[in-house]
Amino acid sequence: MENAEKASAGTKGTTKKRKFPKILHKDQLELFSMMFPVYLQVFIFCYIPMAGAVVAFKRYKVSKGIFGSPWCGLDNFKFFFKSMDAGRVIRNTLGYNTVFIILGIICAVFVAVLLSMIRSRKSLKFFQTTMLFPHFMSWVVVAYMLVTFLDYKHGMVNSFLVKLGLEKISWYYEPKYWPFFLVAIYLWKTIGYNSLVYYSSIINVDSTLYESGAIDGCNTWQTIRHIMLPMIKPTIIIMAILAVGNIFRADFGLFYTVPQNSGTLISVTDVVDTYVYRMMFVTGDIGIAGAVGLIQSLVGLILVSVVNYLAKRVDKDLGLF
Amino acid sequence: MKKALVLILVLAMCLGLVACSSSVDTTNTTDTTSDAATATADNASSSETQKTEADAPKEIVTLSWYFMGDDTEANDDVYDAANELLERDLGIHVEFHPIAPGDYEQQIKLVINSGEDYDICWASNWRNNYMQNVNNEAFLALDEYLEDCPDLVAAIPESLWECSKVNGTIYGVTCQQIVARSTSVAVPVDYVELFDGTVDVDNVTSYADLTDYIAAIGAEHPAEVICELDWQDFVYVYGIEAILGTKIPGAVSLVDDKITVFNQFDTDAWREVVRTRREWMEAGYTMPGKAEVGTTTDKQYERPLEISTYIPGYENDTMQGTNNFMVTQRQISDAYVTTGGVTATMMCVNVNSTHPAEAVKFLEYLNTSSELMNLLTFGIEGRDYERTADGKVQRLEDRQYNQSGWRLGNTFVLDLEATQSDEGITAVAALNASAKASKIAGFTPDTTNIQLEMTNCQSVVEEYYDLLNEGLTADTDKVVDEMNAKLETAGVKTIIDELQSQINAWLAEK
Amino acid sequence: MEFGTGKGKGVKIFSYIVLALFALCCIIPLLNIIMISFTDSSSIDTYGYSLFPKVLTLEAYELLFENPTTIVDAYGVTLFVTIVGTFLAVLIGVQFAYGLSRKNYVLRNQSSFYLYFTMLFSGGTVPIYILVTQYLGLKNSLWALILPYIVTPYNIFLIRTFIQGLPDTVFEAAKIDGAGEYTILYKMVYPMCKGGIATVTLFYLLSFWNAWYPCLLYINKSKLYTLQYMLHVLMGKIETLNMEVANGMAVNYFQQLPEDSLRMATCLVAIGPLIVAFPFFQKYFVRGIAVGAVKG
Repeated sequence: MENAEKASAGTKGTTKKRKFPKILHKDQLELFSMMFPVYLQVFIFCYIPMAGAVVAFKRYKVSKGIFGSPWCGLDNFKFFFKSMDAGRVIRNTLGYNTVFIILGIICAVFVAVLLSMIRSRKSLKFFQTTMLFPHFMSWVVVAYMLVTFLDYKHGMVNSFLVKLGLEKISWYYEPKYWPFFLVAIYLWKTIGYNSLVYYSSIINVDSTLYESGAIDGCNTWQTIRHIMLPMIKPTIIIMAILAVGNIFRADFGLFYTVPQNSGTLISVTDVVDTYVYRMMFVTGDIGIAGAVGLIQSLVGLILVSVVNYLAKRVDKDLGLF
Repeated sequence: MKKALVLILVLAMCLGLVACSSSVDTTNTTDTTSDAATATADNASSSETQKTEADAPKEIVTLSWYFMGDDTEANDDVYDAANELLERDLGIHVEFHPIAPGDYEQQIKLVINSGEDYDICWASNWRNNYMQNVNNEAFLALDEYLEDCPDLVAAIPESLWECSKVNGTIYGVTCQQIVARSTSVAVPVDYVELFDGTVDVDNVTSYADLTDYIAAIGAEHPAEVICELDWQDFVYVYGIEAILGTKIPGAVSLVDDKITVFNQFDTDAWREVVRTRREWMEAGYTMPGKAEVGTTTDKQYERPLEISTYIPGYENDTMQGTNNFMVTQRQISDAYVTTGGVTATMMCVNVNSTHPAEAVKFLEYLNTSSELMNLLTFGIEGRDYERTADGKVQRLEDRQYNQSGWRLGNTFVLDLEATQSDEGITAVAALNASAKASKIAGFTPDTTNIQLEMTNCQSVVEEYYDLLNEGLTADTDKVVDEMNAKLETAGVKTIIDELQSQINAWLAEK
Repeated sequence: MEFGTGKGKGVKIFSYIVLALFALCCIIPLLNIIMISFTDSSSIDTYGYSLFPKVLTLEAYELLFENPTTIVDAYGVTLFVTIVGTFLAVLIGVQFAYGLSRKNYVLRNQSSFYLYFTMLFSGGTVPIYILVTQYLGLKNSLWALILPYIVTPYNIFLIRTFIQGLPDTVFEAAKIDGAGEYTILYKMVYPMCKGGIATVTLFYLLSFWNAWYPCLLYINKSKLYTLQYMLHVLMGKIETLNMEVANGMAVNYFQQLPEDSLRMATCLVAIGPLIVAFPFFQKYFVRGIAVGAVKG
């Protein structure tokens, strides 16, 4: 790959030579040398290991290694799709991500609009800072934070229930509450950041638009409805399609660390990423783990290509490649 | 000129980055880690070997050994001393890789599956599954190497070797300890009298027999009792032996003569367990406590009953697990020798090991040398433990080294601890010998054809297990039915039929 | 933007209230951790966790720093990984982004795809593990926590967007003056994209500081544990121990486990520097998100 890179750089250089001799040639090499560390890192840590993806088509035997193990066709894929986990895993991954995308956008836009109402610089800064705070916490820390609320014995929620004269609830054993918890935690962690994205496109809107709106006698609601939202629509669309491209990936930390890997909750916390982890470390079958990883990559690849095409249709500059 | 210079510079920078990453690595780890010291000590030891060539005829072979343990600085002294012994007696140098127990599963799976060049690792039926690894061809068949190690063969009773076999081949050396498994509970010292008064230890046949005891404490401390009873440990009371693991259906009776495989979650015993736990919960005695982040406790009423493995000779009060108080053991079921008891802790050799013969030699030494086992279990005398007047080992309060013998090797060669009675290990051996043998001791299932069903069933059990085991659902019988209906679709029948036919074949051969 | 004055007031008040409530939600969990770390353990036992503990104590911190080697080591490791990792990541990331942004670079599109493809496709954990441990020999080396993670395509595309936002005339003028690409990047682009680079720096800082998974994969020496991994281990310890007791053999193996307050204190110590560092970056950060967002 590196060679191809260099070769093409060389040929391109010579073709350019005809138009602009020497100078461009030097620039090209300079640029290439600048970018070389990343070329190299990506080649080593991303492209070389991709060869290992063949394990998805192998019946892995430690004694023979990845490449020496016997081929097994699509058996690993069949295993996944035949297993009862498949339905649950796919449903959860797609379900949560859909909810995350829709609610995420609604809430973040809502908060962004509210932020745009705030005049005082100090308050604005205060809100922005505090709202970004969850974005900075690792999932391990979030798990600790959640324990302070949901712990059976000492948790604040249970203390509160007891004060109300209600029974304590063993939260980490009750699957029915967790879809709400997971969505809430996801929103809690991402709204701050995402709303800033929308906020910035709101303030980028030409302020004369608002002024003319005010002259026309728009009230606040009308201003939001007819001026603000249409103006940030492109941003919303971009954010949405980018998220759709990742719809088959789930945040491992959110679904594994935060519910503390509780077995009872597995029906509502099992997603593709936790399944791959379980296959690899608990069941110890890296063939199946590899197969599911491959499915994930392929779905991602297809979705992203589609999304990229759509993005380009919305705005030519938006395409990533 | 200039561009060439720039290019060379950048290339050099990148190469430097990679090169320095590896060189810095070695220097870095040598300073900071205990173990990498041995990696570089490789080079050092080769020069040492030259020096000592005269008195040591063999070249020193380095083995890499993964096992469970805490990684602390105090380990270095212990491992150095151990290597002194090993180099002297065997001409073997060992790189010790203790891995924190909580991470053992993940880390060893990566080590094994990545084909890393290790020699020996710990495996069991409950963490880093022995059977699964044998299926993946990760472990070396030891039979031919054992022929050269008569002492090792002799150190472990024939019946235990029998249980270590998979399809007639031995893939691991069991760390000999208490093999005869029984259900036992640890009772806090303050409650021993109450326990003895309310529970007839010789006639416990179900959870319900413990109700009086739980009720007495629960009445005093409503909803504060954490009952860390797990059904999997109570199976000895009910006389059920799970074949594939605690969370996969497929079991045989320990009592009946006829060997019929059944689904242990579709039994009266399981229903009774679930119902009783629910009753305790509803009566307000117990609270669910396992999944929550727990801590050390010094409140005896919080943990009035904890499962523990009964080891004769430890009759003296002792601390256990996360308790901050003394407990007394009470055995409440008969003892049985099962395959699971043997495969509960084993040492296995890497199938790709470059020094298999030496690795097995090392295992022989580990299982026969009390000097080495004492060192690796108790640490350094004076720093980590002291000898009592009668020669027993007294671990010090402020010891720097913590390890359990069962994680390493033959606990029968260990010196007695101060908490052990004089009979100590003889009592264990006697119990091992007198315990009833399971009807299928020595049988190991071949799971190749039922992988899918096993994974499916495990998912189902996982979903219900804690819920039912901790008494968290109201309509217990209905939920148990629901669970079994799901197991049915998950293919429990296939598993049971397959196991039954394998057992029949095994019996016929026997 | 001026809104109608009459109804605007009500909307403003509404905004303030909702935002204040949300801000509170964001902050309370942190306050919880702070307060519990200062709570006396017997008080936790009687009253449970509380934002307003009855008895305040420094016990947990005294315990934590009584034997400070572990935490100091973890700090050292985390700082090293974070600083070196972030430095390298930003250094090579900005250079690459600069190349991507140069319209005359012949490999522009190919490079973009070359990088982008890695966002979609990966060989899986085991092949990467094999590469890092066996071919690069980085097991139990801090470089294993750094080198595989210094390229984040998203961040590089973000910087590219920033650089693309600069007026072309700047580059043209520099070219005419005979400046090389390195000079343009380091003398002109860096100062002009301060905000964007600061944003991305913060992203990298965060991801290095918060990572625990790499440590699980590549490190098994407690001296080389990172803070986050230490937290992860603390959380799992209880369950592990119970498993050993249940599986039989942990009799007479007693280990002191941390009290709740100690655990929360450790947690706070681990996130402390982030909380302190955050306001310094905040100014750039908000602006950075803004610019990055406009172009997705």
